[in-house]
Amino acid sequence: MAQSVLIVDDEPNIVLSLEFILRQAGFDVRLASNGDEALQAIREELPQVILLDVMMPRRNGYDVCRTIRQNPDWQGIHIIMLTAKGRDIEREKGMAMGADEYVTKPFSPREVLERVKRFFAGQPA
Amino acid sequence: MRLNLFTKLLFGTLAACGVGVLAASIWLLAVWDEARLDGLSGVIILAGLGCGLALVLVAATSWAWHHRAVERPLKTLERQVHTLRHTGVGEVSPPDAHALGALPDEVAALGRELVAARRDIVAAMAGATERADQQRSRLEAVLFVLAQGVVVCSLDHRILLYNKAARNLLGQPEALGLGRSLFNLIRREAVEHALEGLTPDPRDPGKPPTMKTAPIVCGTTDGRRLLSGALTAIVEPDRGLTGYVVVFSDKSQEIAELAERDALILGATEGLRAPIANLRAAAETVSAHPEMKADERQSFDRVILEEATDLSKRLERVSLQQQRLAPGHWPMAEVYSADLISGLARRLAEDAGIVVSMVGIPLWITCDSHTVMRALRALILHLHRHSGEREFDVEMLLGDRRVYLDVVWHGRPVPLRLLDEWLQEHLPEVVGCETIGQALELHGTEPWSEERGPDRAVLRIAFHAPSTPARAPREEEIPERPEFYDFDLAHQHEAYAGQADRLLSDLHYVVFDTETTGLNPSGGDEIISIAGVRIVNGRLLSNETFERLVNPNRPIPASSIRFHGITDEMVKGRPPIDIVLPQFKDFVGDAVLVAHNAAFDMKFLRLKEGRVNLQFDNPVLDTLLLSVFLHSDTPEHSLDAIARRFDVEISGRHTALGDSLATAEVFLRLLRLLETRDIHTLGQALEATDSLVEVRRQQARF
Repeated sequence: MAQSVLIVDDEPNIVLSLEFILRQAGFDVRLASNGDEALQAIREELPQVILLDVMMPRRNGYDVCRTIRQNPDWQGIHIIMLTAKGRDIEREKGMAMGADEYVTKPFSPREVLERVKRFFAGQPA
Repeated sequence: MRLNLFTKLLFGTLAACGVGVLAASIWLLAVWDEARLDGLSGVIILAGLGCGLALVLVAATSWAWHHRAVERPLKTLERQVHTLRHTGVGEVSPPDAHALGALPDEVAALGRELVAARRDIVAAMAGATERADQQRSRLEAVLFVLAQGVVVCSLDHRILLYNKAARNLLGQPEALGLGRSLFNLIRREAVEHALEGLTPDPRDPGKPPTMKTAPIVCGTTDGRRLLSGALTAIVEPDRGLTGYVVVFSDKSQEIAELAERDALILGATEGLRAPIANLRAAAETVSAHPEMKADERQSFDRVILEEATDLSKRLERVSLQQQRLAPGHWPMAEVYSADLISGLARRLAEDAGIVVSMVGIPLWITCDSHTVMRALRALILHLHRHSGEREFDVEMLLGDRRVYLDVVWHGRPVPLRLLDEWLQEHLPEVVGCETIGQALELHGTEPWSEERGPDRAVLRIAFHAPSTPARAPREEEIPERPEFYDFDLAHQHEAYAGQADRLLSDLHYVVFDTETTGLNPSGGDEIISIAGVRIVNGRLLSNETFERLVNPNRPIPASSIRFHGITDEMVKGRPPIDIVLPQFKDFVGDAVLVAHNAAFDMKFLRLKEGRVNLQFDNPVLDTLLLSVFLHSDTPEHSLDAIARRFDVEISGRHTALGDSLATAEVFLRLLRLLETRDIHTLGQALEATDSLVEVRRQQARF
């Protein structure tokens, strides 16, 4: 099965770097710029990893995360929250909503790549 | 001239005249022959005789009457009035026959009025004293409760009065005392300077000083604190300046935080100019010169990367600092969750018939209680409308740096989108925030909802824990009561044959603790405090507690006070064990009794059973023995040690209620562990622990 990653973020400037670096590493990358698009993309084809931003209009990342976790068919998806919400309470909320990992912006894209690679290598990050 | 002398003189003279006339007449009669007096003279002489006799008679009878009707009554009156004036008792009773007219009655009336007036004065004084005492008690209560320190001093700076907050803030308790100088505790310059502004100008004493109160900032003599407050002169109407009052609070923390906040803002603005300059210059140059050679380009790329990373690190530092300082500006207080939640429960019960139960050990949180109560009320009303539930549990849990307030109900978690909508709702009656979300944002928190068990859901709100504990824990390690073994307690399971099969999860428990005058139940030590808390269906009902101080009818040894903090004063007006024990029995009912080292507490209770005609025949579980059974690999089974193992926070340690709550939390966890060791019924639990009693006793010998 192809190693597919779904990037969910409404900021094109960050998506630019993430998409480039992940494609270079050989992953199959899809994009969604808001929560509804993300859920649609998941329904079309299950990704294995989702890089999920929180601050998005209409449906925020917490909502998307919780919705994914509530769906029994989507349990295996590894969710890495990438977000500008840096406070400890926000991290806690993210983990409580079912995120597997939580990375605050600004971050090094290399670090994100490492985390994705680690997941696919079978070790939890 | 005195009256009786005068009357004596008067009647005496009268009598003397009479006697004189009589004597003259008799003499004339005797010399009649020789004087050849005629018949007319004879008549005159006879008349004289008669007059003289009459005069004497009149004088005598007048004097007798006067004595009886005037002098004697006056004497009596005089004596009675004298007695009344000097002893305050007695009556003035006018004699039956007197010629003093209305005087005796008037004097009698005056006497009665005097007695009545004196009685009134005594009553008035007693009333005034009582009112003064009442006022003083109120004043003392106000002073006691003030968060600010209050010190009243005489003009020569001797302390006349101080409150508890002052004692805490000034530190150095050995230097603080009535009559001692204030300057042993705080530096004199600031006080003297403030007083100068308040003292009338000696060159112009008539002119009142311009200020009555002066602000004051001073340091303590040990250099540990900076105090800020106000100094007010005490000026009495005729005596002028007689002393002063200083009201103050500890500003050292606040001032330090302000300084930090300023540094933070500066660092986040001006401090970023240099890195951004470097980054921008490099980026712009690269963009403007696409023809740049590869090695030059590399230098620029390196700069861009370095500066971007550096900016990133700075941001993290500033963000951390900001989070730490965040609660600063809004008026927050340390609030006891039990107070907050019981207020909330009352409001919700009145407004919508919603039942809020407090579960778990109450904790302290830093918040603005008015705002939080309004926000919580609004949220619970939403939860009620959304889920249709009427009953909610509110539980406090302690995290690393946060205190969680969990609202739990039967149902599904709230969808986040819906929760976000609720947070946008306007919150009336709260100044400074528009919406529920803002009210919580003020506290540096945002709520979320998740599952809690198979069909329960929770709305979790995380608050900041107080940075300084509101109740300072005692610094010294207070030793545990020694383990006390009562062989009678063992083999109980034989007595509870009927209940042995009941499931532990079904039973009701009352977890209790006593404070006593000493460790010798049969040697004259008595209970001075007893507290208990109820556990039903695995929930600790923290608003159903029992707590009583008991008068032991014996002095409390000073050496024991440091363990339980209860003094003779505190138990003085309290009911004795004869009254409290039946009340406790009512509270307990037929629940299973639980205590730490239960043999100790049960011994005290059992010894009093005869006196109050009660029987504590409830089954008893001992958390000490349960812990030994479950964690036999460790020797640490004091309540403190077990609490640490289970991460249970104890506040109010060494009070009967505090210890009961801690034991209850520990017991709940022990219960869960018992299930994993296949112990499900009361009988099984009792059997497991009984065997340990003997082992423990043996061990204690070594």
